[in-house]
Amino acid sequence: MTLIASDTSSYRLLPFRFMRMQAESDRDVLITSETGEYLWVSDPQLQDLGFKRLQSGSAFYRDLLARHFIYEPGRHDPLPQMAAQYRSRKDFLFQGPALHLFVVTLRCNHTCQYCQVSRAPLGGSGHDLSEADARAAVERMFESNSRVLTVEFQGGEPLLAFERVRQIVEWVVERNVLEQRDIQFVITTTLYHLTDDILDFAKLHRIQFSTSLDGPASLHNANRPTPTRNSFERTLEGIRRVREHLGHDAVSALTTLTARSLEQPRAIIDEYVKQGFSSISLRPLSPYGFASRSAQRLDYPIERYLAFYKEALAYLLELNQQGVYLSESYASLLLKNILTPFSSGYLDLRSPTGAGTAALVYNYDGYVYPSDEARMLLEMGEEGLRLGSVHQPLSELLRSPVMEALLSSGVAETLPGCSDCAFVAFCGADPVEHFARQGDPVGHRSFSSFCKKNMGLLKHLFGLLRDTDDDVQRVLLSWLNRRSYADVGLAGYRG
Amino acid sequence: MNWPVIMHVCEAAYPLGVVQRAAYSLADTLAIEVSVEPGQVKLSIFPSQDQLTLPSARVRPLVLQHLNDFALRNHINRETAGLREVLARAALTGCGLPQ
Repeated sequence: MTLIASDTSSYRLLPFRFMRMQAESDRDVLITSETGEYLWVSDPQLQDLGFKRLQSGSAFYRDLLARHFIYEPGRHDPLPQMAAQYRSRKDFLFQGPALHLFVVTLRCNHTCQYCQVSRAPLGGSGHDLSEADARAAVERMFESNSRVLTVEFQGGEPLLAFERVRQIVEWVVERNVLEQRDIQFVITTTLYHLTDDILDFAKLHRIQFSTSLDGPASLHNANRPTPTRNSFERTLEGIRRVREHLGHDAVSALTTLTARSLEQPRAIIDEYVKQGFSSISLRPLSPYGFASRSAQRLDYPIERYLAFYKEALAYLLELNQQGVYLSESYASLLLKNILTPFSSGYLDLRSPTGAGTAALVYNYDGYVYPSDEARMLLEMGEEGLRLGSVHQPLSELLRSPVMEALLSSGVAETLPGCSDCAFVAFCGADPVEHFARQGDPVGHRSFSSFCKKNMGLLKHLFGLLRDTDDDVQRVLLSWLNRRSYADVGLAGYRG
Repeated sequence: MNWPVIMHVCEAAYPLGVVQRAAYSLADTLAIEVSVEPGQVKLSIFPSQDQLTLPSARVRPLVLQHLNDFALRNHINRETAGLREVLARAALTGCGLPQ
């Protein structure tokens, strides 16, 4: 069967993958190249391509040649160009960890049912990062060879340990006089404990704030109970104060979606529009921290999340066409992976995995973890994902048995299921999530929420890119380019 | 429908690796027991959920579609053997974790 084709044709195959999309279209098979090029083809075209029965010179043939699905031996060598494309897509591998999370305290005044990081009571002791550990963590961070570094303060509620935050920022700034890295500071906070002193310090060091806004007051307050039952009002007040002191874009917000949230996609989006945000992150609940224990009440099947997401995305596309700029951040990351030669660099969408290679977490207990999710598992009694102590050199931490295990199960192109998947060039590997959900860092794709989520979203986006009108395409491109709808011309990306 | 559904396929057209990959990809719908017999591979197909809504008439076509797709993937992989590694080596020279 193989011999017939290979002896008579003038072209050879390059590695590619395919997927049937079960769409109402003649061309319902998506083929993707190793470097992330894609084309929609019909089943007869797929068979002709695979068994080398194509007529050279046809438009389809030329398309396949240009997008590196085939090559003509002796006539053109695709390797140099493909290697350059592959290198661009995996560019993140040439840099060490860029995201450094400092868990300065586990204390928090909120008692959120879905809390992903767990917390300790306000007056709890033994839950703050010590000065010696903080200083060592700064040393570890500068051992990374990344030119761009993000210092993110997490909790609990990091503003409850603001003096440690201040110390760390000052050490980093002082050290950076010599290092000359490009450094960004971010505090992830409820904004509950903001003071003018904190805002002045943030202004001095151009610190960004990231907060949580789950939707309208009723939803936000139900998700985030406090003794005074005014979490929503306090969050809005904090957003207003940050914007007043530091500028409108100095604060961004994240949404956590509980089962209750899934019933009100429009209300959540309307709240973000009302508060003047330019992006919204519609992320599903993660199986970590307290969220896992409350899963019976708060969790939902990923299929429900996908239905919610599609409805929310449709509403966002509608609003954007009316001149409101509000992008969905995960869709924007996926679009970058699909429509550009570059990777978004987002941790969950990296292969090899971003855990440890892209991010490091310096926990309040003086231990280092490969991702925020890995340290959340600690609060569920799982210590296995610890890289080591903050006092060990970075090179030693990155050679730890845990890193070896994560990397050996964190290359999507080699994993069962992923290795045959047409989306693998746009997706990533998440061994920590699979370990958390299935007790195995490789996991089984058929039962993987991570896989179902990314598969569902990528299928939906590819469908939009192929089937929708120019107005929708323009919105998607405006998210990709971070420009307003009015500034974007016709798309032209149809595969 | 009477379970299991039994299918026999020719090992030359559908090598064991192809059958195993097809079975893996269908695991959320169907539980497939794979056994090798002289010159052929036997598939014993069960529902993987109690309330499988897949119409019985669609089980064989669904499995066959997956078998054919994985056979084609196998063919593509054989045709392009080694190219992925050459490409990755050419592209990623010099990368690595900081030491």
